[in-house]
Amino acid sequence: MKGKLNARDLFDHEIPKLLPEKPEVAKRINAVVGIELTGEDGGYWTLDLTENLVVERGRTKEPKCTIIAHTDDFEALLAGGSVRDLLQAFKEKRLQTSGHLPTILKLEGLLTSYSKMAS
Amino acid sequence: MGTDFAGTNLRDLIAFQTEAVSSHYDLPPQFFAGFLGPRMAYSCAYFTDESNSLAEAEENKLLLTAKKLDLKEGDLLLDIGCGWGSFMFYAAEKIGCRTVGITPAKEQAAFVNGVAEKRGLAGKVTAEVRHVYDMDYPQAYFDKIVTIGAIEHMDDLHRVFAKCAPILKDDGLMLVHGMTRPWKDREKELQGITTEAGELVKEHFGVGYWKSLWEVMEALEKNDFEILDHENITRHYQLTTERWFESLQDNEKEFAGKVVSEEKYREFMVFMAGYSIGFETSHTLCSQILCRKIQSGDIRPALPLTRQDMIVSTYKE
Repeated sequence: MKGKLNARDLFDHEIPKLLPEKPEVAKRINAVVGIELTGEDGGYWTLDLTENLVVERGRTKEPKCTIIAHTDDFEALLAGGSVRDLLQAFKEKRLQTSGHLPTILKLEGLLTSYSKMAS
Repeated sequence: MGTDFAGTNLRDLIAFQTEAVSSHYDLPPQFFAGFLGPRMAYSCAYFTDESNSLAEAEENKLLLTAKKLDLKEGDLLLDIGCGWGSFMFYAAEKIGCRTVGITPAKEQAAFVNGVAEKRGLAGKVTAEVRHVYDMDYPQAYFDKIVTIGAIEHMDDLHRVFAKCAPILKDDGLMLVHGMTRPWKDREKELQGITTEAGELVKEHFGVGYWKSLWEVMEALEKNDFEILDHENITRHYQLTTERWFESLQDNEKEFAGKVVSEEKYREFMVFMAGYSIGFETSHTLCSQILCRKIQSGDIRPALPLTRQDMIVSTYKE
């Protein structure tokens, strides 16, 4: 993936490709996580980061936690890779969550590292 | 927010740290009361069983700390960084100690003194607004000294412990309870390699200095303290922060936009979640260190031969 980070590419192609290459990062999370992106190019992805390491479109499993954001915000935050910006987005509710927040914080590390590897 | 104070005037440093720490601890006490346990202990509780409630674990920690310090009726106790007075009230009410606490946060001191007044403990529980570097007590004044969850805000532990040794009686005991971090992480910080997340944590607390365990022990030993006992209680802090986080989450409607701003509430949510991960993933550690004053050539006191007297195995009301 070159150029602007694209969430759809990230979850449809890049992360599924990278998961088997870096399984130890994903397995530290050891949970099913939902990604719900709104707006153009949005969608819902289920990341099973337990034993299977699978990314699927749609809510295919019950997530332990879910990240909810507008696609544009989500892409900008991941591309920026700034923890401070992520915190500010969460405080301002541009980045919403439901479920187990500690797991989402662990996921942040994975998404940041995978998006860097993919870009 | 920079924390490199090389060359900084001490009065400026004290003023900065007082303001920075107060920005966190002088939030409304009812906010902290909403997610801490009933004792309002803003530090690691102690779980004899994972099924312990936060209230039970708070009591366990206070009992454990009192046992380690061998607190006795009439002891004069100094609590450095006394918070909302959880250990002072415990020592005064359960054991009959006289307690003096210091905190740089005015609201905390006012809270402690107000509660002491209400409970008829004025004179037995006294909180002073004072920076640790400004401690000025007579020689050999205190029977016991405790500092719980406060060394994280102290930039120079050598300076702190150098002030503690003279004011502790020769046969006194001091207990240091605080967070540390693995040496490799600390070493990177000392080399100027910091992480954005690490800096954000310091900002959240106003000011923070997470040292490695050996640095704390070195500061103790170099300032005439002998380490009698060390207990790693990291797992206990993970369980504590998990419970704080759950309470914060459960009380969102009561807190957010009412007691504190919605942004401040969400900031606390993130950091509380982050702390529990920090303990779970060995980025942050927590210890209790018991020590006494030592001078080579002194006749050693007849200290207990085993740790039996400082074990809390089951919670009892």
